Amino acid sequence: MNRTYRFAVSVVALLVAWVALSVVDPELFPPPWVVAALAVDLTLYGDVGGRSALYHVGITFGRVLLATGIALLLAVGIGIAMRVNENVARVFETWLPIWMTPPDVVVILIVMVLLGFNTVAIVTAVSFVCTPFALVSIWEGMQDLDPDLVEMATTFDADRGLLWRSVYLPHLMSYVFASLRNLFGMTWKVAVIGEVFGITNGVGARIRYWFLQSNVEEVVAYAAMFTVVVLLIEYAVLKPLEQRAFAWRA
Amino acid sequence: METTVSSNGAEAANTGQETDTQPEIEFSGLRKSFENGDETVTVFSDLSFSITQGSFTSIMGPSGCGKSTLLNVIAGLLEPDEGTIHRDGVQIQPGNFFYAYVFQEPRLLDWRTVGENIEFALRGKGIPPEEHDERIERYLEMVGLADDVDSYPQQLSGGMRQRVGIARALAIDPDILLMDEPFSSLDEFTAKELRQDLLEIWKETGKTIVFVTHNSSEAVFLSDTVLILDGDGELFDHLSIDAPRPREVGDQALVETESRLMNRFFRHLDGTDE
Repeated sequence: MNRTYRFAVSVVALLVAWVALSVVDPELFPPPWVVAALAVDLTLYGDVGGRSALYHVGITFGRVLLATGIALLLAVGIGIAMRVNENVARVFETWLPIWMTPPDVVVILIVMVLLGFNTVAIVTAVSFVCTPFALVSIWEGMQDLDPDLVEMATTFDADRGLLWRSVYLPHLMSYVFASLRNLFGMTWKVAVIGEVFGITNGVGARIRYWFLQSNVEEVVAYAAMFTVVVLLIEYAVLKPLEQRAFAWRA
Repeated sequence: METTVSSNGAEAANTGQETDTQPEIEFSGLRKSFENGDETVTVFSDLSFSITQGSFTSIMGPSGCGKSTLLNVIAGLLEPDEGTIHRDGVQIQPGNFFYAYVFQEPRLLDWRTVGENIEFALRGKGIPPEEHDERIERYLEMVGLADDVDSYPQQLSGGMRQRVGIARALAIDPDILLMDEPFSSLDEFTAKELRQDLLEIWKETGKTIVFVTHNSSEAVFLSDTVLILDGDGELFDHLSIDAPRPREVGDQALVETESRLMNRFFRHLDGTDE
């Protein structure tokens, strides 16, 4: 009840602010009902080129999902390697800050030059940009593990396999979920930037098209649609999954 | 009541009914030190004592005197710098006996149920899987948590969690139960209850228990023998407690023994003993 209430309040607050802005400057901030109507229109009757907006959202979503999965797998894999081998840890601890530094746009451009203007390039670039951020929290989780638990496991002669299955990985789960959430917030933004530069489908491509037509309404409509999709994933998939995974929490 | 005082290097004392026929584990000349920068800090040196099988031995001393270090050396978690361990006259390596550890904190896996926590220990120790369910049930019942096999640790009180820790240790059926101040972070009411229950469990299982504590009344109440370390890690006193069992908290004999123990301890600190 309390949560539903809070959720309702924040949605209403957002809409009120949006409407207020649209009153001040309707050119730059189309009101929410115009955007909603346009989103429905683009979905049902298709965008220029005949494809439904859902197609473009779906294409982008597929890329985002792939890149998120790759980034998470890389982060967990490297995190484990860092825990197991001190040299690996030292190398990545040195390079992590540098890995996080290059501007997204530069990475995207270089990867596209290398791999061409296609989905593979986008997924590669997004994974490269986002992995270090997931790795930072996974590595933090690795170091947060209570050494007393490892000592306990030692006194019961737990071998490496048992230690990883029963201690390290379950402990890491909360960090994996935190990373996943951050990744989802991040990958789609980077993916859209990639699509803006020279690819013919996906949300970014449509945003580029409508931006060049000086049509703000369509740009906002696509951004809004994608935000709704990300929120849906958060509440319909991640939250319930998390609740099941952390049933042990009091 | 018989008490035996000995200076550094207390040998097995006369422990009343338990005579030489009982097998023993003998520790002689144990030394442990740590490097701390340039200097070497000696936790204890030339520590000798023996533990009779089936007995309840407490190692008592002020905080930081090396009690837990000693327990870790017994368990083989730490290598001693010097010293030998004999079991029934045969020399063995540290930790080379079947022990189980009960820690000050329960150290449970919060993401596993109570039953799965015990199973973790059973798997670690390579107990055949077909025995798991039976053992989990038996030892949870022994500690009074038969109904909580599917609960998660965070759903239990501190005392109950510590009981799970004890059940987990017992479930592997060790020769020696090593307990490192297991009740010191519990409130006194819960601790009192757990001490009573521990004595019941001890009677039922006949385990050899080595129990570290800084609480003198706890040591006196529980033990057959109390080994007392001073702040320098010197084993300066060795006390046999022959008060009959079952014991009650506040038994006159126990209170007297405890005050005698404390007197001797403080006289030792003042350097006025012997």
